[in-house]
Amino acid sequence: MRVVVIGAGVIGLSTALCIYERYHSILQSLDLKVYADRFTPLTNTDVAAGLWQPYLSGPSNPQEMAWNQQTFDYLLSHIYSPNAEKMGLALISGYNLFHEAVPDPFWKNIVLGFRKLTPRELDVFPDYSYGWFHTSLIIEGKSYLEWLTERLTERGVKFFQRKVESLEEVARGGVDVIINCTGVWAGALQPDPLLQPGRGQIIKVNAPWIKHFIVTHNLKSGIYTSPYIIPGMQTVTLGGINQLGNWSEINSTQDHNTIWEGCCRLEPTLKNARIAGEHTGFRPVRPQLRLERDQLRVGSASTEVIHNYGHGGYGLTIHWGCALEAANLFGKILEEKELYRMPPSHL
Amino acid sequence: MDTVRVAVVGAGVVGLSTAVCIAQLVPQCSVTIISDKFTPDTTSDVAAGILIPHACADIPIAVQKQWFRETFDHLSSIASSAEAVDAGVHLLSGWQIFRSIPTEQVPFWADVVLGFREMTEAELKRFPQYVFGHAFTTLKCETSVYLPWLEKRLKMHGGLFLRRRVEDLWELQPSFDIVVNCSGLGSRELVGDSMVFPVRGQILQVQAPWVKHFIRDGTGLTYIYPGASYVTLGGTRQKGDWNLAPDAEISRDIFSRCCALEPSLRRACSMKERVGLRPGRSNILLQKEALARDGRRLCVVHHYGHGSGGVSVHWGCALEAARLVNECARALRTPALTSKL
Repeated sequence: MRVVVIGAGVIGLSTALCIYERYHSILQSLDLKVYADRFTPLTNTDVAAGLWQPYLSGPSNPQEMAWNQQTFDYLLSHIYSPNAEKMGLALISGYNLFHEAVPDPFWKNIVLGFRKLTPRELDVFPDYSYGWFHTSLIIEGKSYLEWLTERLTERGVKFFQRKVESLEEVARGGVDVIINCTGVWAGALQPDPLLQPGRGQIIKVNAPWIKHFIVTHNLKSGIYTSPYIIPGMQTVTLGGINQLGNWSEINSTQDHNTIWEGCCRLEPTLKNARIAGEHTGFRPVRPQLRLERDQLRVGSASTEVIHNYGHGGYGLTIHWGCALEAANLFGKILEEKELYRMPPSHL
Repeated sequence: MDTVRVAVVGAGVVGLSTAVCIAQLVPQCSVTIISDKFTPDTTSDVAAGILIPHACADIPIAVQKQWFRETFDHLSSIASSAEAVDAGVHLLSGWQIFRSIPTEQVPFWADVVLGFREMTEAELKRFPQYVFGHAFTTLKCETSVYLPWLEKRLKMHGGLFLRRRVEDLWELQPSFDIVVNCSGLGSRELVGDSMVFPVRGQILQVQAPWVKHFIRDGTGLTYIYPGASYVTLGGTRQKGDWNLAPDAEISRDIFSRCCALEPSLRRACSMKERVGLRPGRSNILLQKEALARDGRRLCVVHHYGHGSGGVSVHWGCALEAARLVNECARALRTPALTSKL
């Protein structure tokens, strides 16, 4: 079975690992390759702050709720292992702040210790009048991608740096299954009017005294457009930019100022922080993520495709549940090719 | 009005904060800190500085709570100001866990810290040997940064510094009118208080910046306190032990106990061992004493014996000490009353 995963961000690499783990021992041969034109530290995953947190409102696809939960549980089980730090994984607690009362999020029972903020806690943030406190996870993109790359390399998965121009080009190379994890650039392989970039810019600072995440919300202007401060393993990510349709990869001075002023107002101690870097990335925004099978006809032959892209700003948050589902779809392909029989209770 | 000359003996967190309070609250006074050790060589410098009070046997709970609340509120306003980093104060959340359900399930300080609640079952799952716990947000006061910051504040108020070992309080008379004794463990010799004894504490300072929460065993013997520059792992409580040299066996034991609570610490690096001798005493001594000898008089305010809980109550106690100094100062200024001392 020849499989090519296109894309080496968190979706591509985790899907590759999941499929390998589940099927390599039951298939006669599994030749798994990863094609990508960008690898860590140049992917969008690398720019993400890495806080596990789905959007506030329930997803339009109810399956996404389960995928979020599966991802949290999977990551939590690794938190207590000595590998946690290498994976870029850490527990983190913090604040979600609002200008008005809001309903509890659908994920309140997934995270740990979810509760509303007390009046004295709100005194710490004078611009906000309502909020939550809970314990979640950080999964730092760069470390996690390095870790996934190591695991895949150990298992003999090969990586190729190449810019794929079309799915046909890959199919013609004699591939049985293509897994399309091209994220925000999926439209170049197959037009998708529902997919657009949600441009984000972030500033990384050294501020090791900050131990909590602080995410503010402006319900009118939309998700990720209000200041957020998210500590990582070594640096703290400051953000608050989400520009739909903007493909500019250059850091903007205006956005820098918006982020800096907003975050310093939220956390005055930041004025002591040294800037360690500034980055731009593109959230692959879509009304719901695309995770489904497709068939590609090239001449008389047909190649199986599994699309797994469009995870918006919650890719790290939902990645493992999606990888498991992609592996399920892969299993169905194998069944149809009579290479494998699914066990009666669906995995 | 003559300037009242105040000497504060001791430059740990208690001495420095008391000196600052006196400089701020007592009118027409000069404050001089006299100590043989200054930061970074004081006992306070070894403390992790987490704000979790230790119950004192003989002091009314209401008083202890007031001291803690005053300290918490004072540091809280520093933590949300732009001064926070210079003062070394920041918010920290975490868990206090118990192997058996404690008799006191809600401690007296629960409504002083932020967001205090019982841990959920899901949260306790990661500590398989523990059955109960508290989750809350408190403050960490990094003493190695806070003490220099207090020294700066004292200088701004015109405070003076003298590096000298005081063997007898009477050495300070007649240069000073009031002596505030914040000599901690040193009071055992300085004023002959045999109720003061060392409680040796050994800690490790490691690099593990991914640890964002404190974890404290309810007994207080094992703890993980992440700070701005390192994580403090502890500890020990060795009564009557004067040994300031770190013990390698103890370090291994501390590391092992902490890794049991937080396995990711195994990847921590750059380990420094430190030892501090807590000023143990059955309770904090915070009171005036009028000394007299050969017709000489000396007003003393004793302020020592904070054991493991110095940082947690330092500001509330310092305010009380400053009030006592003020009483002494007023008494000194009223000629009719001088004979009453």
